[in-house]
Amino acid sequence: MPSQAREPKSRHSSTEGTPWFKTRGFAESASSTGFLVPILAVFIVLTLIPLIQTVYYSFTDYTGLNPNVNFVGLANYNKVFTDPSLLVGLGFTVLFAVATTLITTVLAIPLAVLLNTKFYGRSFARSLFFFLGVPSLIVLGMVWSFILSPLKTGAVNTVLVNLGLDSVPWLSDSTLARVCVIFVAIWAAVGWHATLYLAYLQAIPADLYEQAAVDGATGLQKFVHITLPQLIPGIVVSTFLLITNGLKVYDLPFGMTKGGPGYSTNTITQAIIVHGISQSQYGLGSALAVLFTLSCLIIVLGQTLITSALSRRFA
Amino acid sequence: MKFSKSLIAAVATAAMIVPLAACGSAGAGDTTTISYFSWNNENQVKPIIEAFEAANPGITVDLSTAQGEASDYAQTLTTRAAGNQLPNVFHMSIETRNEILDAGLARDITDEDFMQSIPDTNKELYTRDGKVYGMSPTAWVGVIVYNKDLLSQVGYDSVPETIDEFVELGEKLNDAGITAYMDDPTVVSGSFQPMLGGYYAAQGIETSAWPEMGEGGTFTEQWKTTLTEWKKLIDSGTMPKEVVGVTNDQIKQQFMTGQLAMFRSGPWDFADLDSSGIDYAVAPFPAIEGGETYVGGGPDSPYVISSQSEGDKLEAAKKFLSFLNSEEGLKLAEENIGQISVSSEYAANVDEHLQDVYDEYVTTGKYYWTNWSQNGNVMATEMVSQFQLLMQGEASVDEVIAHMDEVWEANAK
Repeated sequence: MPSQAREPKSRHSSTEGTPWFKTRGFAESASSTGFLVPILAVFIVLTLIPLIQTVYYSFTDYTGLNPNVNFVGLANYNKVFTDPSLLVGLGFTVLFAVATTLITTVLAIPLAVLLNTKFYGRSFARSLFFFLGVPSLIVLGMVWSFILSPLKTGAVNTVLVNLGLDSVPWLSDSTLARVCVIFVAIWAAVGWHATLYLAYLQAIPADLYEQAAVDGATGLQKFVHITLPQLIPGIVVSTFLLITNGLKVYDLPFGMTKGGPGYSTNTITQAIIVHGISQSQYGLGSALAVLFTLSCLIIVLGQTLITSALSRRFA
Repeated sequence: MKFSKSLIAAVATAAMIVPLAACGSAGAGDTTTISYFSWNNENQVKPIIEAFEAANPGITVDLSTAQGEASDYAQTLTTRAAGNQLPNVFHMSIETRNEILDAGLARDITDEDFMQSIPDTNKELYTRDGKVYGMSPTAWVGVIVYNKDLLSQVGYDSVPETIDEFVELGEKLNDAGITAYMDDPTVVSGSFQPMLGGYYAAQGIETSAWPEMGEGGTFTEQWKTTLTEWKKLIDSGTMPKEVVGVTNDQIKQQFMTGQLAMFRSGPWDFADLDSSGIDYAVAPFPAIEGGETYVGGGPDSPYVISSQSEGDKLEAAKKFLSFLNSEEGLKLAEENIGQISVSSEYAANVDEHLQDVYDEYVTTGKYYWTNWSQNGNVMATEMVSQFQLLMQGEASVDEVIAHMDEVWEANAK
C-alpha cells in the first residue's frame, strides 16, 4: 500500500488546485443528497405549496367555486375566535387528544408487560389486541354507533334492560357522547400501542432483571426502576403518534355521531372540512387550518421537549 | 459509481413524481365523452346511462357519484370545481345554488328545447335574472310512513291531522310500549318543514316575509309558533329525544322490525319497506294550531350543464339532458331512482302507497321545503345542530331562533 494512503487526508492536500465543486467530497455529497430529492419533491408539491396557498386563502373570501377572490384581512381569523361551534370543536379536539394519549399510554404499558409474559395462547392474545387497531376508524365508528345506540334496542342497552336496568342515552347526551367517542378511540388504539411497547420490552437486557432479582427487588420495583426507564424511547414514539393522531382526528367522531349532539363531538378537522369545503368557505376553512397547524406545532414541540428531557433523565 | 447513484436518484424522483401526472385527463377517441357527477348512486343511475349511450352511439358518459348526504355531494363538487375539474353535467341543490350561480359555473339553458316541458314551479327555484340554470323534471315528496297494525293496536286507522291529536296518539303508543315517531336528526328536520309550510299557507304569510328569503322576515318572528308546536313532539315523548344519537338507517330498521310506529320517509324507501313485509301506509304531516296539513317536498336537485363545456361536449351534454327529460329517461328514473315526473313528457306512475298524497298535496302545491336564498349549507348545518340542542333540552325555542337570526346576519352578503 502506498505510504501516503496511511497518512490522514487533509481537505487542503486533497483539493489543492481543484475547484471546490469538482472535489470528490462535493460530488459524493451531491450524489447522496440526490436521494433526498424524491421525498423533497413530494413534500414541496403535496405539502409546502398547499400550505402556502392555505395561508394566502386564509386572508381572502375564496369560496372554492368562485375564481374571483377578494382580500378580507383578518376577518376569517376573527370569525374563528368568535364562532361558538368552532370553539366547542377546539375544546373537544384538545380533550380528545390529551385523554386518548394519557389513558392509552397508561393502559398499553401494563398490557404490553402482560403480553410479554409466558402464558398459553399468548400469540393469539397479541394478535387479538393488535387487530383492534387495524380496521378503519370510520368503520369502527359506524359499528360502535349501533352498539352504543341510545335506543332501548341498542346492543349495550339491550343487555342493560335485560338486567333490569334503565337504558342509557349513550350517544344522545353531549357528555356521554364525548366519553363514548374517547372510549372507542382508546379501545381501538391500546392494542396497537401495546404491541409497540412489546417490541421495546423485548429489547431490554434480561441481565438487568436478573441483577435486580439477586438484589431482592419486587415486581413493582423492577417495573418502576427498570421497565419504565427502559421504555422511555417507546413512550416518546407512542405518545407522539397518539397526540398527533388525536389532534387531527375526524373519522371516528364523524362515524359515531357526525359531530353531535349539537356541536359536542365536533373536531377541528371536521370543522375545516365542513366550513371550508362543504359550506364553500375556503377562506374560513383555511384560517382554521393555519391556526390548527400552528397549534399542532406548538403542542408537538412541547411534547417533544418533555419527552426529550425524560429521555435524558433516564438515559 | 457516482453516475449510477445519480441515475438511481433521478429514477426515484421520477417514480415519485410521475404518478402525480395521473391527475391529468386521458386523451379523447372518436366518441365524445362527457363527465356526469350524479346525486344518486351508481346502481340507480347506470341503467339510465346505458340507455342514453345506446340511443346515442357517439357519446359516452363518464359517471361519478357521491353517495350519502347533500353535504357529501357539495364537498366533492366544490373540490372538483376548485381543482378545475368541473363535470360537464352536475347537480345544484338549494344549499349550493347561490354559490354555483355566483361563480358562473352553470350554463343558461332557458331557451333549450328540453326545458319547454318543465313546469314553471320547477324552474323558479333555479332562475336568476329571468334565466334558468337547472333542469328539474322530477319532484320529491316526504311523508309520514306508518305501520297500520301498530296504530290499530291503539285504536287508530290513520294518522291524525292536528299536532295535538298526533301527540295524543304518540302517548297511547308509548303507553303500549311502542316507540311512536322518529325523523332523522342528522339532517334538516323532515317534520318541521311541512308544519312550517302549512302554517305559512294557512296564515297567508307572503314569501317576502319568510326569513330564508332575506327580505326582512326574521326567524324570531316567523318560526316561533311552529317551532314551539313542533317541540310538543319531544316534550310528550312522541319523538324520543334519544333519536338525536340515532342514524336514519337505524330508524328505518326500527320501523322494518315493527318496533317503531311512524317515521318520516318517502318513495326512496318503499322498496325496502315492501321487502320487510310491514303493512304500511303514508300520511301528510299534522297541522300545528293555525296551520294546515302539508307534506315536505319540492323539485328534485336539477341537472346543470357546466358553463365551461364547449363544442362537442356541450352538444353531447344537451343531448343527455334532453334524454333525461324524455319519456324513456323519466320512466327509467321512476323505476330506478323512485323519482316522480312532473314533466309533460311523461305522466308519473305514482306508487300506490303515495297516490292519495300525490293527488291531494303534490298536484295542488301543498308541499314545502326551506328555500335558502343565501349560504344554504351554513344555515342547514346550523339548523341541524340547533334542533339537536333543542331536543336535548340544552337550548330553548327562543335561543334557537335567535341563533338562526344571528347566523343569518353574520353570513349576510
